[in-house]
Amino acid sequence: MKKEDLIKFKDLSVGHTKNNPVMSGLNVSVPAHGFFGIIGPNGCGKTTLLRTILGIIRPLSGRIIYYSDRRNLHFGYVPQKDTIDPLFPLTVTEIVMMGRYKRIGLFRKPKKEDYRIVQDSLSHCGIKRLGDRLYRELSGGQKQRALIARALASQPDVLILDEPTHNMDLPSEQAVLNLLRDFHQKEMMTIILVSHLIGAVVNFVKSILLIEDGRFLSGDTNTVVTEENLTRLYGLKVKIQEFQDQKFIVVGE
Amino acid sequence: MDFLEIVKASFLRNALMALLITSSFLSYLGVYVVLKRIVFAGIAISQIASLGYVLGMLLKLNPQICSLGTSLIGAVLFSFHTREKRFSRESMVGLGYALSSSLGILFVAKSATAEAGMLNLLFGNVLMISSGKVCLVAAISLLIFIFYSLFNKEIAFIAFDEETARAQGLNARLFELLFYLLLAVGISAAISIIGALLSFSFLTVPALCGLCAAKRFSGVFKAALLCGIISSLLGLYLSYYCDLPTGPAVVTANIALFAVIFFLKSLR
Ligand SMILES: Nc1ncnc2c1ncn2[C@@H]1O[C@H](COP(=O)(O)OP(=O)(O)O)[C@@H](O)[C@H]1O
Ligand SMILES: [Mg+2]
Repeated sequence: MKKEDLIKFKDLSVGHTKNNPVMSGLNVSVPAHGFFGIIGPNGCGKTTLLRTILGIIRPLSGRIIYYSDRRNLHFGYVPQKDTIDPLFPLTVTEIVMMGRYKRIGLFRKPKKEDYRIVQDSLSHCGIKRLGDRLYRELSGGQKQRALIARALASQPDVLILDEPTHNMDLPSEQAVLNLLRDFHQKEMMTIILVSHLIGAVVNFVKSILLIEDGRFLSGDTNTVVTEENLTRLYGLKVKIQEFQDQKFIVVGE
Repeated sequence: MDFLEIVKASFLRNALMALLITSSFLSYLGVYVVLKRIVFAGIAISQIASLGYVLGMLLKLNPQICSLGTSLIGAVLFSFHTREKRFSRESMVGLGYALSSSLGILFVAKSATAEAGMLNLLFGNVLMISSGKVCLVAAISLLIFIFYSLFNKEIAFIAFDEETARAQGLNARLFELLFYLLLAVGISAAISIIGALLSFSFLTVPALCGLCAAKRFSGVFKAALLCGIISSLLGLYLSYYCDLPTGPAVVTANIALFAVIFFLKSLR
């Protein structure tokens, strides 16, 4: 295992029932301090893979090797926004505080220090003013920021986000991705981001895992995302246009 | 008769205490029942608890303990998340409800005493409560409030966002199981005192009042508790004053209170 790897999947199979893996034979490394994108169509098992990395479910077979001890590795998880029930009248601050619960521990209440960290996370995500607002009354982009702030409040080594730009308008999407890029560049935080749209994240992630029909393609974004590779992977004529250092993926002639 | 006199009469004092105690813990639990969208599981557990009670009377066992037993079994079953794709969890709860109500009726069909007991269970008989029973519900209520004050933040986290709570290493399964077990303990104690109808109402209506009246999460619990208590007092007073059955009087008072809160809130 290379020293600069943080997490490595070895012949990994993930899924919910033994005989029915949603994804198998995965051999990929997540680089430390990397910005890692996992891209694949709906239902291909991206969320299942994340749940396995997080230890919510066990691998069906194969292994996940953590470069540092799993116990010392703190994951900040930003789940798919639509798994969260809008019925609860919780404020943004209350929700972000949940990120502290593991560090606070059972039987204890949040202390001053925890409130300070929550405030910092809010301002990091540019939602300092929304602290007292109800989560359910926020816009999609603001909700996403609140969930990212909660993950940050847990002071994670790795930030794991499931479809953070799903169902978002273009400005909110770009704002969230820019925010993540900032964390990655300024704080050297390892980020794992899941998306089903390659075009949306290709200019942000540094390394990538593409999933299509049980096949995988992974490595550095610049070496993996090429016209030949995508054409082969998707079985479609794919063109990549570069404009001001940005990649634009176009299908067809 | 004025309200102070009611408090002085011992059978009324017991009724009042029992109503206040059960209404407060059921109103509190009800906030989670409503927010977790498991209202139907609440009514099913109360039906299963009634079945246990009837079974106990038929088999000449302690009905209170039998009712606790069956409701705990129901609670354990409901706490599991099935991954069944062909039908929802909700429909399994419906099945549990249908099964326990039909079995209950079949069991009492051959026994007149059990039949009377069954009717009692539906509507309760709050005016006939012994001091022992009041102590029992007080103990159960204490148990519930201690559990919730110890694990307040974990329970809220898991109810709101189970995935992230589990990702943080919280044992969501265990908390979910404990949540349902306590709910079952609370319901089975409540039905023998205030009846299935009133127990179920206390599990839903005060929570609705709380969600309508309060702006903040912690405020919802306080408001729900307060609404449960106010409607108990109001219902008991009306039932005594107008000689009406207590359970339905309390439920009606509760819903009237909800209507008032709802109306006042929508004015703004
Ligand atoms: N809790 C679960 N139990 C059983 N099967 C599940 C569960 N969650 C998801 N699945 C199934 O696993 C497959 C992959 O789902 P998921 O990981 O959510 O895909 P993605 O996130 O890529 O859209 C789907 O076929 C889905 O139906
Ligand atoms: Mg998913």
